[in-house]
Amino acid sequence: MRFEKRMHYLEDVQLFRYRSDMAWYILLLLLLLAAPAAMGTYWVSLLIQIGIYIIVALGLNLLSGYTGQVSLGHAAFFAVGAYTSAILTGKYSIPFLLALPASGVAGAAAGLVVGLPALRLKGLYLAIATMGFGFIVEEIIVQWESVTNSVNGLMVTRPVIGPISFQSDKSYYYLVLAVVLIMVLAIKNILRTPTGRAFIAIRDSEIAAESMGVSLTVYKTAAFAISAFYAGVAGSLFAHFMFFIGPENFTIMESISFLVMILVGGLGSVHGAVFGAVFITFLPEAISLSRGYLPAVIGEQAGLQSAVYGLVLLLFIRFEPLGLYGRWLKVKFYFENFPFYKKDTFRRVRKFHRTVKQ
Amino acid sequence: MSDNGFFRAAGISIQFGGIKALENVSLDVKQGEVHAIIGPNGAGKTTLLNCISRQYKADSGQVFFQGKNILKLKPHQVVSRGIARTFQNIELFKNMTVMDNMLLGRHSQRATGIFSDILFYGKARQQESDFRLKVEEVIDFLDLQAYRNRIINDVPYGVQKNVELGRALVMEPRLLLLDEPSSGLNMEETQDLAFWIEDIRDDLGITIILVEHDMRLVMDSCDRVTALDYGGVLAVGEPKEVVKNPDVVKAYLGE
Ligand SMILES: Nc1ncnc2c1ncn2[C@@H]1O[C@H](COP(=O)(O)OP(=O)(O)O)[C@@H](O)[C@H]1O
Ligand SMILES: [Mg+2]
Repeated sequence: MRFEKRMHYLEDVQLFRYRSDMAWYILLLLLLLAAPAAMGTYWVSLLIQIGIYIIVALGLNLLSGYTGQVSLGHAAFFAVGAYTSAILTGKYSIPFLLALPASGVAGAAAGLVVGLPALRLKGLYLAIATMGFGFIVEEIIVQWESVTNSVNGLMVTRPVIGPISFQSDKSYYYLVLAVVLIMVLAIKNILRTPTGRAFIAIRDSEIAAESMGVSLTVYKTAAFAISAFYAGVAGSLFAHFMFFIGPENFTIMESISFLVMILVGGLGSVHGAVFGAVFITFLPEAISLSRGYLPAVIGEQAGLQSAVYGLVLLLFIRFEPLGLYGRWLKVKFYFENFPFYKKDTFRRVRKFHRTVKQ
Repeated sequence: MSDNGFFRAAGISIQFGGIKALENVSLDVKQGEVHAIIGPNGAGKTTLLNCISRQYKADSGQVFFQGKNILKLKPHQVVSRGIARTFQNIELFKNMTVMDNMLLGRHSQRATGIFSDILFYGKARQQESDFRLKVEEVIDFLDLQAYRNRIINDVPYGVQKNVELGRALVMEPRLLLLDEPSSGLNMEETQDLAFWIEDIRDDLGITIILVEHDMRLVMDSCDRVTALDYGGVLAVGEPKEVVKNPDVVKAYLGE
């Protein structure tokens, strides 16, 4: 049990509410800094992948989880970032430190292109429109051979910043970690200021948001732009991590796995984005491991991965709509309040007194 | 304090399909008064508020607020002119805390852009602290201390009504539109509301347009009344005159 006592007005929006929280996060950071020394390259490369996915998930969560706009086209923004970075550093020899933010800006520009016409669309219609955008970008990559080298793809090198080379996975890991930390901090700041509150307000009630002076046009497109900026930055890190990018990296399947990531992790929470990224990185590994043990009819099916994604989505939406983060909160609550835990603590109270909407 | 031309709506008409919800309705409100709009269900009271706050687009007519025509503005621009409102069927952000709901009332006062928010340093930090100070003032004014960090979904109906009123007050508006603030409240809560309405007018200096069914509240707290029926104005005047007006009596009691 803890007692709340506030000494100044910003206390509710401190990054770490309690000193013990801060201690845990410092410990986590130390572990992350030490990780490459203790791990093999396979694990380090998985951690890099998680980091890249965390950035995508943070952005997508801002758009879908906080602002309530579903996107099934995030692989497109990811692609725009990846190709921008590959072309800027490869063809034009522009330093990575400039190409990285430029990839984010290019992603954001693409986000505006989708966000503005999508203003009037909601729910399923928005999902379909963004999915359409994803197909268009995929097609552009294939057709625009002079720039993208079509299906043959582009070679990308690992970045060098000043005297430091990030050639090895272990060194590249630290670069990704630094970018992830900056992106997490930025999202946290957005969420504790008027910008983030306006996003959440739009999700909960557009009418009320407008009557608070929130411009739907401005904030809905801003959510798209910021979200796509995140995807663009992640795309850049992805390109330099993979050494090679081609259209097959940015298909609808990739967009779907991004969405699975935030749904499974937990919509509308920063922790959820992290949990989701971990989950989506290990799921394909687990699936390919399990192929060996499954009967051949199932194990050798090409669509096994999509089927598992679908099943996972169904199970989470049915049994744990708050995602892994919601489950984690419940477990934590159980231990903090042991033995006073009541099973119904998290059950939503049903209310019947709302008048009928006119 | 000039009483001339504080708020004037003239010749407002709006149709839905074949229904004339409002026909040539005018409304004059003096600065510093509590002006009630009464009338039976379906008379067009909510529609009139929606036309003023621009949720609906009136087919014709004009709305002047402090000398400027506001009938061309977007809803979010009306707010920055100093007009706040509440809704008949509470429109709160249901998954947010009481505190965060009321912080949104401050949105139109924000002086930072998205980029300085991302840095959360200097001005953005100071602004956040100032916003919270203002919200705490309103929380004290409306006795909401116990609910500060509760999610809207989990607080009682009466409290939700207060939060919506509080969220509007946090905006520091010059004109406040309230749509049936007492509906669903019990006796005690309605009495509190009557006190607050007087305080809002006298201490905060906010002019109020109030759609209300509870005639006692109208008689006790309102300076003038406009009675509507079938989308037209039946009578305007002081409460005790309007309730005696034969047209109004007929509209309420039937033939
Ligand atoms: N959005 C709408 N679409 C169609 N008809 C509407 C709409 N809003 C209001 N009306 C109609 O306008 C008339 C006035 O409604 P309203 O202003 O809600 O009445 P009240 O005085 O009870 O608040 C009613 O006949 C109602 O059906
Ligand atoms: Mg009404």
